[in-house]
Amino acid sequence: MERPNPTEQMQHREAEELLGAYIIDAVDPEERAAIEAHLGLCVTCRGEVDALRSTVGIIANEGGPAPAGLWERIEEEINEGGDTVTYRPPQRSRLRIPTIIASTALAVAAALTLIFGIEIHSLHSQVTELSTQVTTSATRAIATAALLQPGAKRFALDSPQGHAVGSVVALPSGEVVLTSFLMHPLKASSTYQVWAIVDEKPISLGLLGNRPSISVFHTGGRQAFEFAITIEPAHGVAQPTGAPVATAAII
Amino acid sequence: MQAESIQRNPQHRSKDTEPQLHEISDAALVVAVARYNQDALAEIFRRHGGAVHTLAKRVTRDQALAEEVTQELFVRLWNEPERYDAGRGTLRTYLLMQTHRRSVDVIRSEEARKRREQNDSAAVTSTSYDIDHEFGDLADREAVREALQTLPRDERKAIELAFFDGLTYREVAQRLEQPEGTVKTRIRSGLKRMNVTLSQWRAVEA
Repeated sequence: MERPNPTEQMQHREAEELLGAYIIDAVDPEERAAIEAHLGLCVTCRGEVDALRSTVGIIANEGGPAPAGLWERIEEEINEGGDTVTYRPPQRSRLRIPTIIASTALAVAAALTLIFGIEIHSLHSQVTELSTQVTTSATRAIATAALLQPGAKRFALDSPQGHAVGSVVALPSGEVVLTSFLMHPLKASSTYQVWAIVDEKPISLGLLGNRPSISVFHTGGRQAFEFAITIEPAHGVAQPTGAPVATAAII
Repeated sequence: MQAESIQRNPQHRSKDTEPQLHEISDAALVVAVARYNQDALAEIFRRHGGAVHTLAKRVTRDQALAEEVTQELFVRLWNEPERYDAGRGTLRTYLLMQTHRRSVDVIRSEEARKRREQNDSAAVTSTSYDIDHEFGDLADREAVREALQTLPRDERKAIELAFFDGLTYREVAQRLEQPEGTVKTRIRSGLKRMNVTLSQWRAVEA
């Protein structure tokens, strides 16, 4: 079954030299086909490609938001175009509602509360788990809509090294949308915890879990000009135990 | 993941994964996609759609092309979820590698190349594209930056031109006025070196 055809088979050495270029798609289509044929036969080369795969995955991973409306187009194509509302089973419809609302720029917090039944947490809920992790892609559209709200203020969320790691959008209503916090996943025994700095004291806004995404919380009407995120034990803490891994402040 | 588990069974168009979609693993989501659970695909898009689009845009330097590539990728995942083999890496790596391959194929077509060249100046001036970048996975980005910095300059340049500009190693060789064989070797040795650095980084993170 695995007998090579000597006339067509790429020599091992030739294939091996091209593995780096192959895994980052820097070979011609003919070379690609020849290498793939060789990989089917050569355990050594397959091992090297497997080993490099996750590295290339990391190089390729810059994160980033998907453009608004793209999911809806994918959904439409999957449902074979046409009047997708008519043909879509009812369970899918909830994915569209928030986007429509977002696109008509209704109040962000109201939309979240109405559609997802999300409880907006306040400063009183010291270390309560935030239940506002996004549940559908459409929520991302709402987060984007938050940026477009009149009076929205965006703060850069920076690592101690000064790299932008996300942003915080504060709305005049007191809702705060952590729009882009996509940090490295933590062990299950840890959580990211978000703090508002009020009168120079950290006050817990809640836990973001170990795989944080977009979150919404409320400052309870108090003015916060600084936010910080720390890594804490999974149950959360009343006071930060370590230095922040990210901070945001009014520019 | 067992091979059988991913077989399509339209009978199971159930809501069994619906309540806690955001908590279930990528591999389980792909199984749900195989059962025609569109919400599972939406969740995969939520988790990885941005990264896919960012990479497609970085390589194609064209918003419309990047969106086409992203759409194509997710439609393909919907139609052929069994192509993802959880044993060979994470779903994000799988999607990003597919994205990269598709993106370079797209830009190597002549028409796209012209569009891309027209977009070159715009791409340079819009790199402070905050909202896109701030969503990025900081940890990976910093690790990659550091790993790239540890490479000899020639290796780094060859990898960057090939990976982010979508050039073949032959084109890289022309661009750098170096022999093809040298570029081929540099790409491979550079990636291996990064592999070592990033493995150490992953060990520390774990």
